Amino acid sequence: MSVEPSRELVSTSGDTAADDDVATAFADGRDWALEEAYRRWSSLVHTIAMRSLPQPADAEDVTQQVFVQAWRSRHTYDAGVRPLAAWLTGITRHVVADTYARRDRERRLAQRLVVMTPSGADRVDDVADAVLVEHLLHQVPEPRREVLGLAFLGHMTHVEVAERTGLPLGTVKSHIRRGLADLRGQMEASDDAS
Amino acid sequence: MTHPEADELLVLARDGRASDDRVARHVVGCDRCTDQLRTYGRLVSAAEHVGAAGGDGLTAPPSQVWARIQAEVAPVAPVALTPALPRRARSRRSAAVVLAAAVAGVVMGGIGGYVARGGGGGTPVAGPSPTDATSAPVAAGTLDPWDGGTVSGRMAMSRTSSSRSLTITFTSDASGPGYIEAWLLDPLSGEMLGLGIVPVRGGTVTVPLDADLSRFTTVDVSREPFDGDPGHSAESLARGLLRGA
Repeated sequence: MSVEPSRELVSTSGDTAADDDVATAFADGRDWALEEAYRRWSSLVHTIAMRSLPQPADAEDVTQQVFVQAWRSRHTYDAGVRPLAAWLTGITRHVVADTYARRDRERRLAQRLVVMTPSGADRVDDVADAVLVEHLLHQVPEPRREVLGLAFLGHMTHVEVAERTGLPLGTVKSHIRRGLADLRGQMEASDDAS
Repeated sequence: MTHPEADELLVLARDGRASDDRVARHVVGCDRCTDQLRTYGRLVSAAEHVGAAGGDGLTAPPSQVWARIQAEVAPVAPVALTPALPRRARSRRSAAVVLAAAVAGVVMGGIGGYVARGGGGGTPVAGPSPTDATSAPVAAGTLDPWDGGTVSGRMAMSRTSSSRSLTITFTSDASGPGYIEAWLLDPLSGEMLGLGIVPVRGGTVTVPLDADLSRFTTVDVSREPFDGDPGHSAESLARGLLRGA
C-alpha cells in the first residue's frame, strides 16, 4: 500500500530531482511525486498550520487535507506557472481559514455567543508569508542569502552591504535583484491557489 | 523616469523612503511598481520573523500524518491486494447467513446515500475530475479499539463505476498471531460479511457493490487463527462506523 519512491527521482546526471521536476511529476500524477512533495514541503505546510491553529490535532488535520486536496486537484495545477511550494502554501491558507471558520462556528454554538469574537483567520496570511519566506530564504545559496538578509533587515544602504560582505556593489545589487524577483514570484504565486 | 530597479523599491518598502525622491513619485503613478512595492513590504515584514539561527526553523508533521494521507489517496482496489478467497458470511456468534441477504439486498439506498454526501469540501480547490484515477472517498471513519484491545486505525471507502474498496490504515501496532481480517457488520442483526485479509500495517480490500451499506454500517477488524475456518473468530480488534465523506 505504501507509495514507493522510484529511481525516477534520480536524474540521469545523478542529482536528485529539481523542485521543478517534482512539480511536473506531481501535476502528471506520478505516485512518487506525492511522497517527494511531502518530503520537501510538509514542514512548510505543517509549520503554517501549527502557527495558525492552537490545537496540534487541527494542525495535523490541515497538513493531511492540504496534501490530499493537492493530489486530488493536481489536474488544476500548472507546474509551469506556479512553484509547487507556493501552490501548497496557497492551499494551506484556504484550509486553515476553513478550519478557523468551523471552530469559530462550533464555539459560538457551544457558548451561545451572540457577539462575534474576533477571528484569527486574517492572521494566517501573515503566518503563511513568514513561513514561506523562512523556507525560501533557507534554500538561497550564500552569499546571496546573507546579502538578502542584510537588505531586508539591516537597514543598510547597498554600499554598506557591499562593505560588510566584501562584495562589489554591482554584485550586491544583482544578488538583491535576482533574489527579490524569485521571492516575489513565489509569494505572489502563493496568493491564489484556486 | 523608467521603472526603478527592484533593489530601490525594496529600500522604499523597508524604510518608507528612497534615496531618490523620484522613486516614490514614480510609484504613486505606476500600478506595476505599486504592486511590486506591496509584495516587497510583505517580504520585509515576513523576513522580520525569520529566526537568526541556522536551520529553517520549520517543524515536520508527526509520522502518522503521512500514513493518513496514503490511506486517503490509495489507488482503488488493486487486484493483487485482494485475497482470492471466497466471500464468506458466517458469524460464530449469530448463525445468520448473510450472503443471500447481501446479494439480494436493496443496493441503491445505502450506496446512493453515501455518494450523495460525498465531496463538497469547503475550499475553493477544485474536486477530482471524472477521469481521476484516484476516486474520491464516499465514506470514511475511525477504527477504535474493541473489547479492551489497543488496535486503532482509520478507514476510507472509495468507489469507481465498477468497484468499491475500503482502505484501512492502522495507527497502532496490530501485529500478533494469525492474520487480520476486515468485515462489514450489521449492528442490528449481528450479521457479518467477510471482506478479506488486511496486512498488519493496513491495506485495501474490495467491498462488494451489492453490499447494502445502509444496513452494514460498521467495519469490524478481527484477528483470525490459521485454522481453516472461514467464519469470524469472535476476536474483534477494532470497530468503526462508516460515515459519508
